[in-house]
Amino acid sequence: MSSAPSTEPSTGTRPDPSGEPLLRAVDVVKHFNVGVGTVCRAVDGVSFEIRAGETVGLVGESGCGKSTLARVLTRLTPATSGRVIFEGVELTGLRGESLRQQRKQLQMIFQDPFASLDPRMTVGDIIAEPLTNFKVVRGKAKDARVQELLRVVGLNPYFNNRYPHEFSGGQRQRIGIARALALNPKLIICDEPVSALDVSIQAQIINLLEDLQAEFNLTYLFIAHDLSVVRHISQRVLVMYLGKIVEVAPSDDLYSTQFHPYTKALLSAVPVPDPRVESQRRLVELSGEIPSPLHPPSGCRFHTRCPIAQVPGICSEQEPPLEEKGNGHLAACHFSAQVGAALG
Amino acid sequence: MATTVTPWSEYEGGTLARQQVGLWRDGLRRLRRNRLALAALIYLGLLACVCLLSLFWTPYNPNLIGVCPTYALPGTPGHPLGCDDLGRDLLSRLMVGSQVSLAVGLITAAIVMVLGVGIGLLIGYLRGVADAIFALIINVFYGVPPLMIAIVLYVLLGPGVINIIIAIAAASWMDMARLVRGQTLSIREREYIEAARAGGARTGKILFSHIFPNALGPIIVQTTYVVPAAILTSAFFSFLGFGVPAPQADWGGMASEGFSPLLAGFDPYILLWPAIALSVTLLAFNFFGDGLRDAFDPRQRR
Amino acid sequence: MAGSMNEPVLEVRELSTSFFTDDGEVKAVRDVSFDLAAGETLGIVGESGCGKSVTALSILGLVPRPGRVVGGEILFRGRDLLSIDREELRQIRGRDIAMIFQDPLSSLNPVHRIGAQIEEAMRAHDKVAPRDVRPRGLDLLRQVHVPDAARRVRNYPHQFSGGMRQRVMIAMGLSNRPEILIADEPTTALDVTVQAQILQLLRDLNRDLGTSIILITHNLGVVAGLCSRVVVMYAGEIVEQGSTEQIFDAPQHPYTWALLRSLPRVDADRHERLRSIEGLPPDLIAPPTGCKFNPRCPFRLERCFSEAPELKPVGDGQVAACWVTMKRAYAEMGAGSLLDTRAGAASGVRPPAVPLPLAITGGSQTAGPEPLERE
Repeated sequence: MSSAPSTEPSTGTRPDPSGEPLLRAVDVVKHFNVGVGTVCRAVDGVSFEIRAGETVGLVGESGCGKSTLARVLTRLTPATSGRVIFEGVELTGLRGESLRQQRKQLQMIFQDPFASLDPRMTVGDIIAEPLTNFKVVRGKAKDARVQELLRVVGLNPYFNNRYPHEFSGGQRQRIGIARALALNPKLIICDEPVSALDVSIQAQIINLLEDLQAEFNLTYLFIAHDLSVVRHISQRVLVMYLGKIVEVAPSDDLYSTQFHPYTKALLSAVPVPDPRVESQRRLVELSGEIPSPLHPPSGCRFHTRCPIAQVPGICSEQEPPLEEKGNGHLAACHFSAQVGAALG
Repeated sequence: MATTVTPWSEYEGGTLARQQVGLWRDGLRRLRRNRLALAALIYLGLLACVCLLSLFWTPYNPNLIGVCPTYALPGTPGHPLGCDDLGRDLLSRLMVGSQVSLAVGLITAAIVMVLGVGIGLLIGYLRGVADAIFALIINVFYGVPPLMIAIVLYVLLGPGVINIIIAIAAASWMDMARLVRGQTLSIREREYIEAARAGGARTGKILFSHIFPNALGPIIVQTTYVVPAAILTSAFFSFLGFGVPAPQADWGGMASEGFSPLLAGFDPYILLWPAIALSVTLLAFNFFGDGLRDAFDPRQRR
Repeated sequence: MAGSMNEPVLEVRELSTSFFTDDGEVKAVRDVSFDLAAGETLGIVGESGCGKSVTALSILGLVPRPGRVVGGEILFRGRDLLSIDREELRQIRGRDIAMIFQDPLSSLNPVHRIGAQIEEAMRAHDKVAPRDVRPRGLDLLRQVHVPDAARRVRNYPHQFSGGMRQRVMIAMGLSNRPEILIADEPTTALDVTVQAQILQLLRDLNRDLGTSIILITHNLGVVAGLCSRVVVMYAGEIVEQGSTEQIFDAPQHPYTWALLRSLPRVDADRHERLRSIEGLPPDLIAPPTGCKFNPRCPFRLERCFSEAPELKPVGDGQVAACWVTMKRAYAEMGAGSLLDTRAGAASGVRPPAVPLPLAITGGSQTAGPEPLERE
C-alpha cells in the first residue's frame, strides 16, 4: 500500500540555497518595559539573513532572547526598532490586513505540543483554520487538503475528527506541523519544536521536518537550546547571548572551530553519548551566572564570565562588532584568534 | 504525488495514543458520582415538568375564588395543600407560581450570560482603554441597588415581570463580566492563541472560536448560580409588592399573602408552602452548581 | 568515575509499583532488580513513562497516591525498606539516603532563608552535633561552589538562579553525609552550561566523599559523562544493564541500540539521517503481550509476541532481556547495514493478528493472537 520510506543517509547535499535572501533582519531590537524606568533588553540589535532553501539554527541559553526574536520576526509582537524584510517586503512597516496577508508565507511551529493546539477544536479544524482564515479553499476541497496534510506528516487521515487530548506529544507536534504547512509557506520558524518530546520521538520529528523541507522546498529557522539537534538539522548556526548574536558558523565546522569563547564553552558543555569522548573532554568553566537582561554588562556583554576577557580593558569598554573571522565564521569578539589556543 | 515522507506505520500514525479521558467525559463521570448534585438535578427536572404541566392544567383554576372553604387545612379532600384566605386552591397556585420563578430565573440568567460574556471577552482581550472604561461602569453598577431600579421601573412602566428581570440582570451582569474577563486574560496568553494569530485569525475569530469555548466551563457554573439568586430576588420583590401583579400566582406574592393571616393567628400553611418551594429550589440550584464546579475542577482529577 | 566491586550498599529485588487510577491499574514498575555498590554512580535511563522516577520514589516510600508498591524488596544495610515502620523510614530519608529533584524551586520553601533550610535538614536527624550545624551549613555551601557563601547563606530561594538552587539542594542532600544520593533529573530544567557544572560537581562529590549516586535521566549524554554503570528501562521494566562502556559500545537490547542510533551528536562530522524508532511507548494499563518492545522492534521474532523475555547475561556483567539480542541481529539480520527501522523490518515478522485501523489502544495487539508454539 505504501512505498518504502527513503532512509538513505543524506550525504550532505541539501537544497542549494539561492543567492537572494528570503528573510533579512537588520538591527532588530525588542525592549520590554518592566516597571518604572527599567527596560528588559530582550533582543538588542540582531542582524542576519536566511537564504531560500536553507536551514538556519539559532541557539542560546535561557534569557538570550531567541524566543522573543522569533515572535518579532513573525510580528506576533512588534519590534521596538529595526527592520525585518521578507521576500523584499518590509514587514516592520505593515499593519492590519496587509500584515495578515504576509502570514501566508511565513509560518511558525511552537514548542509545547500540549499548549499549542486548542483543546476544544477537532484536529481537522485546527489544521484547516489557516485555510479558513484566508478563504483559500472551501468545502470538499478543504477537507481533502486537511486529509492530505495529515497524511504528509505521517498521521492517519481519518483522525481529523479527533481532539488533541487523544494524541501523544509527538503526534500533536505533527498536527502543529500540518497546520504550519496548510498555507504552503516559504519560511517556517520552528520554536523549539522537539524540546518537549521524548528522545525517541525527537528523531522522528527531526526526520519529518527534513523530509518536508525536501518535498516542499521549505526554509527553516530552527530555534533550540539543544546544540546537538541544531547542529544536525542546520547548515548554519547563529549563537545568541543576552540579546545579541555572538557567532555565526557553518554547522559542519562548529564543533572543531570556534571564534567566540561563549561558543566554545557551550560546545564543551553539551553532553555527548559516548563515554570515551566524555572522559577526554574538558569543560570550559564560565565564572558567575548569566547577567539579567535588565542590566546587561558594558562593552562586550560576555566579559563578566569570559575566561579570556581583558578586564579592565577593551572587553569591558568596547562592544565588539560581528565580523568575518575566516572559515565562513562571523564572531563578535576582540580576541577571536585566541579562542582556539587559550581555551585548549 | 510521490513522497519521500515515511508513511504512517501501523502504530504511530495508524492508532491513537491510549485515549486519555476527555474533559467533558471526565467531568460527567464525576458529576454522576455526586449524589447530592444528582438529587438536585432530579428535583429540578421534576420542577420543570410541573411548570410545563401547569401551563395546560392544574387541579383547580388557581385564580378562582371560593373553590374551597377559606383557610382550609392541608388534607382536606381535593385540596392536599389546603386553601388560602380567599378560598383558592394552594396546590394549583403553587404549581402556577413556579412559572414566574423559573421564567425570571432562566431569562435573567440568559441576559446576564450574553451581556457578561460579550463584555468580558472584549475587555479581557483588548485591555487598555476599553478595560479602564468598563472598570468604571462596572463599579457604578455595583453601587446601584437592584431594588431601587425595580421601584423606578415600577413607577415608570407599571407592574410586570419585565421590571424584575431588568432590575436583577442589571445587578448581576458585572460578576459574569469580571469572571469572563479573568478567564480571557489567562487564556489569551496560551500558545494556541498565538498559533491562531500566526495562522492569520482575526480578533473576532479568536474571541469566539478559541477563547469563548475554553472559558465555557466556569461560565456555565456561574450561570447556574445566577438562576437561584434571580429567583430569590424576584420572590423578595414580589413579597414587597413590586413583582407580578395579582392575581397571577407567584411564590413571593403567595408568601406575602400568607404573612398577615399568620400574624392574625391562622395556620401558617399559606406562607409555608411557597417558602418551602423557594428554599428547596434554591438549594437544588446551588447544589447542582457546586456539583458542576467540582466536576470540572481539573485539580480534583484522580 | 569511581566504581569498585564492593558489597552492594543497596539491593533492589523484583520491585513492582502500580498506580490504581480511575482508568485501571497502571503498572508503572514491574520486577525491577539492581544493585548499587558503595561509591558507584549508577544511571537509570529511559524516556517518560518508563518508570525510572517511580522506582526512585519507591525506594524512599514517596510514591504519591493513588500509587503504591505492590511487591519486591529493597535491602539497605540488610533491612528491607518496604517492611520497616514509617518512623524508621523517615529517619533513613535525608540521613542515609537523600534525594534531589528536577525543580529546585518547588523543593525549597520560599519564605525561609537558605541557611535555615540547610540547617533544618540537619536538625531533622541527629547525625550532626547541634553546635556544628551552622558552620557545617556554611561549609557545605562552599563545597558546592556557591560563591560568597557567607553572605548568600542569608538569602531567600528566589534570590538564587536555577543552577544555584540546585547546588543548594545538593548541599542539603549531602548535609547528613548519606551513603546514597538519588538525583531525579537534576539538570533537565537547567541551561546546558549550568548542567555541565552541576554534573561536574556531582562527579567531584562522588570522588571525594564516596557517596553512591543514582542518577535518573533521559539524557544518554549525561549518563556517558557521569555514570559507571547504566540501567536502561522501558515500559516499567529493565531491558538492559551493564557498565557504561558496554552499554554504549555494544548495546544488546534493540531498544538501547535503536535509541543510541537515533541521537543527533554535536560532534558528528557529517550529516547522517537519524535512525528513529517508529511508534509510541506502550500503554501501561494494557501493555502488549510478550516483550513490551515488540510493536516497535525491527528484529522481533514470533516468540516476542507471546513470551516476555527475562534478563539474561550477554557479556561480562551485562544483562539484557531479549530473545534476539544484537549479536544475533548483526549476524543474521543485517543490523549493521539496516536502513529501514520500522517494526519487524529486519526480521520480516508481522504481528500475529491484523490490528484494526482505528484501534484506540496504541501499541498492543488487538484481537488476541493464537497461542504460538513454544520453542
